[in-house]
Amino acid sequence: MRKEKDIFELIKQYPEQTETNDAALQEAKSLARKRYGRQAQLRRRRWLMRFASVAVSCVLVFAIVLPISLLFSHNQMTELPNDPSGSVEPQPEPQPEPEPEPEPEPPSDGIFFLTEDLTVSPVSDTERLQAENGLSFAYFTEGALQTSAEAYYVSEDRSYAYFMQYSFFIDEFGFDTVNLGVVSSNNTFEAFDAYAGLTEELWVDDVHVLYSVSYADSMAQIRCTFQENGNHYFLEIRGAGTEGVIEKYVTLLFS
Amino acid sequence: MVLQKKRLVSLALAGVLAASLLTPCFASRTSASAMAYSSEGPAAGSSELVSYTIEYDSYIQNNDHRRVHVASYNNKNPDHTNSCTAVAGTNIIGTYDKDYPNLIPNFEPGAINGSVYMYYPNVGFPAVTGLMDTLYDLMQVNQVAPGATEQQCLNGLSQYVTGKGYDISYSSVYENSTTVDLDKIEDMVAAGKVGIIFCSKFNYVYGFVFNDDAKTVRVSKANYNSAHAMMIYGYIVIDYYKDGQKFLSETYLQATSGFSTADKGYIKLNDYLTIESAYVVNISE
Repeated sequence: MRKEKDIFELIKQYPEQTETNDAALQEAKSLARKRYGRQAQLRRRRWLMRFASVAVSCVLVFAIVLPISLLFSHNQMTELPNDPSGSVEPQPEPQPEPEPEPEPEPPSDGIFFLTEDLTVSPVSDTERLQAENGLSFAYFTEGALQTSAEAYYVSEDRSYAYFMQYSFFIDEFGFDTVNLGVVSSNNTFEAFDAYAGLTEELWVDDVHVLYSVSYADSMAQIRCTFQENGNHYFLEIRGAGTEGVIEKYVTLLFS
Repeated sequence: MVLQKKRLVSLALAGVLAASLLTPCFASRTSASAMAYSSEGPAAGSSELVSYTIEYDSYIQNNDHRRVHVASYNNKNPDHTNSCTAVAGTNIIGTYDKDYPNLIPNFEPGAINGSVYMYYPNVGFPAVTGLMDTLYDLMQVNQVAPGATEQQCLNGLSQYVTGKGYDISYSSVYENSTTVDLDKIEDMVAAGKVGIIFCSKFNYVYGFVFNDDAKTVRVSKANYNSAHAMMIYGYIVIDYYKDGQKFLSETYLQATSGFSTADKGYIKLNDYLTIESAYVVNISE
């Protein structure tokens, strides 16, 4: 930043310098001739030709040598024994090097939207929202002590994006806060990025659920995602218990 | 010759013009108190999703200074825009209302759940919506410029709290532009307090997905190039080990996003972040 500011200061002062200092002007003209004159153009052209010939040679070398070396090295790599080095931290046993997890790719016909691309509106009548947008998805209609809903729209064209419902439920063990997101297209959204990469799985009737559970201060945070009738559901549950919680809310959702 | 002279003059004029256009930007950046904090969701063109995966043999997560239960609301008034300071203030007041019940009269922000006090979720309680509207006015959001400045935000918060019969003060936890004073944050957590942070650019971590079988963690993260205020309430440190050696240590400041999604997540310290100021908010009888 400082460097940029200094450059601007220099440029600001430049007109005064050129008007009052003839020697500097002559020097600038001479430099400009060296840099932009006919000889300079020829020099640049020669350098360009040299650079191009070197680049083409490099590409040819890589195109021939690299595939051959990869072909030979592949077999050697797979035969290497596990690294027997000791570890300072407690390690259960040497593990093979895990494969890097690729970032999840959105469906081929879907669009990824950042939160900044969207605007939100409160929803007082979810049935009407569904009718107006030709949607058919499940949401919590009973059991919640209190609930509120919002619809997100693409700011650019006001097209419908997804639905959110915030609820809390009370039972004899305490209460759960439940956030439900429903996407009814193949589009993907920043808001549900934290659900990517879930690997634990269970079935609730015929619904395949991917989930994760984390604990903090006697509370569990469950994130789960599943698909049903073309809708993608994202469910975040915070509460004291985990036993049967996913089953309970997935069943309640589709009841 | 004439052409070259014209080029030089044009270059000089363009430079002067660029300098005069850019100087106000630099000036406003150097004055944190004059900067307006306005985002309640990221502005168009200002954010980028930068989630990443870390491979490890083992990891240790230090939660000693983590706080789990705080209030986290969003702005549900469609007429109110650029309201991040009012949302941060509402989260702070909502969290403190558990111990200082006059802050939000006739409202209980949560209940004992199992063995801990847990805040109710963001379901649009009229008392909370009313509080946010009041803070929006007291902080003079959008009255002078889009959003509110740090001074407007803190003045509005003070005005509200003192009006309810409590004392309020602010203790700086600023350390530098990419981190806060973690010792002071520890004291804040131990004392059951929360704070506020003002950033001219920031990152936000929505969550972690640990895969113990594959020994990977996916960090869901986005960077935002916009001014934003958030409630802060603790921090965690995650150390990652490979071949017996710690190869990575990441520190995350807990923060409520203040976005429309009312997330409870983290700001990754020493990362894509320009902290202008950060305070513990002290409220007392």
